Amino acid sequence: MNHQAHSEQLFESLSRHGIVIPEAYRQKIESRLNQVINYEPRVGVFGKTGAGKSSLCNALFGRDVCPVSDIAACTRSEQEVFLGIGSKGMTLLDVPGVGESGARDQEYAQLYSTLLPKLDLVLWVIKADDRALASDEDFYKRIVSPYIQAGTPFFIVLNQVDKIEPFREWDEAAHQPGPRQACAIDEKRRAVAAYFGLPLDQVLPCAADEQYGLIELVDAVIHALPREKRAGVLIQVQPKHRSEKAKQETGNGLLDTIVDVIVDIVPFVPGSAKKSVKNALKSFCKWVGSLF
Amino acid sequence: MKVIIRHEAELAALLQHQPAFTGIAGLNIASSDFRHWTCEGRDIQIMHVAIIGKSGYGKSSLVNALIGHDVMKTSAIEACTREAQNAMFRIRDGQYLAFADVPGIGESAQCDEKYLSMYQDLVRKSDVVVHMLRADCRDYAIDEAAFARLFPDRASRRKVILAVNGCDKIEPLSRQTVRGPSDRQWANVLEKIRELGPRFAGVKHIIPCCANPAWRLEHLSEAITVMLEEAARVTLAVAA
Repeated sequence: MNHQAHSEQLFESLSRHGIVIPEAYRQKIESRLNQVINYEPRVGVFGKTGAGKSSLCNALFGRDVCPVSDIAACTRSEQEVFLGIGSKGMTLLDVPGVGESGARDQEYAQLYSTLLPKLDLVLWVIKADDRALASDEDFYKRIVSPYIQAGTPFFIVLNQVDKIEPFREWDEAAHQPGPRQACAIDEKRRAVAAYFGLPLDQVLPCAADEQYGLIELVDAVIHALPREKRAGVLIQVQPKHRSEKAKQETGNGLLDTIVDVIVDIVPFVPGSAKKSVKNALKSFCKWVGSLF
Repeated sequence: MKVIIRHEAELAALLQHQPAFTGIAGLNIASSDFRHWTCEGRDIQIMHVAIIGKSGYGKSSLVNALIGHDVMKTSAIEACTREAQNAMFRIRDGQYLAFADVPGIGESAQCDEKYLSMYQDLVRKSDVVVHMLRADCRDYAIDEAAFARLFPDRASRRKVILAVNGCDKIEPLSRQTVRGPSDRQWANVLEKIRELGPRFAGVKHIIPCCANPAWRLEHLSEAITVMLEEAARVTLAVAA
């Protein structure tokens, strides 16, 4: 994105409301603003081989993080669980199988103690018709959940819900589940939430290949993120999955962040002036909002 | 091991539904050493077919489809099989063919330990073991580990059939086919089977199929029948 463009818009909006930022502070504000807007989120995508990690990333972010294969495990590297970082800080991680993890716990603990604190968001992908979730649960509870408890936004993505039985009932034209499938999806969601000990709103059904449930997933993710990281994430998401709600929430988050930056950097703008600065920036945010 | 009899009928009823089992009617297991089982207080001889594998692969659905009755409870969501459940078919007095549906592995590490030792016991006493896999999966870590533990050597693998369920759900998904896979799916199934062969080396048959709606189950039934016939021949030879 053009750095010059949004800072010019920003200072123009402010001066129109009589708030003139001296040159001395402009550059600092500019660079913080750019940090926020061009923030590259680090997303950790966990899941067993075949759960649909790559398909989900491709559907959400619209670029081939990994070529998707019908048959083979495409994301498998020679020996490691660490599958490589795609562009823009996306990390796909295989959940080790039962028995596989025990012997290498130290190794995993080491790997994740450096990786997990850096993640802004964790998506845990489970294939909707998978009932053998022992390795997911075990690995989540032992290795991953301590970091999640520390506040990293976390969602279980119940993927490939279009394949839940009876799978021929799926409405391919409307990209919607059939009535019996809808019940099964709902039931599975509840079962998985209970199994992982999570609230229902952290288990979200979707079908990446069918473009189903992605808008709702993005809404939930944006809502859960700290306000200064929303813009960076939403910009990465494919435009068709950005709802008005997500855009608005992101815009508001951005506005609040910028107001704080200005109050923080410019000494003559007191904290009590937040409201007027915010008012002055409404038109600027409208402009930024149009970028999403 | 606790066995619950979910279904009991004459062999003729099974043959009517699945003629591929016809060969079983002619087998005289009285003079052979087909194992004696105590079932609900009765001492009977059983040709025993055990269906094992990961939870959610469709073991219960497969038994239901093989016998033509929905006697085993199935669920797309949660596990519902907690003990061995038999469907029994009377060949003649005191002699039965049984399909045993057992709890699936992969749901919890503690249960797996219990279930795997139950499988070991079951495998030893069974004449045919149908080890189920799914075509639309890529993660076979649990399956391979269980297979290696249950069938440590080539000899023990001779009574194993790999049934690869879910052929209609392999990519590219097609909802137009009423049953079974599309041509493109079938090509992928065949490739999948080539890939599975070396990982489950030594099994007698690898049979792609679908439990629901049933597709190619006559091939599975035929393979089971042939293996039971062989087992009867071997035991007869030993007796003679």
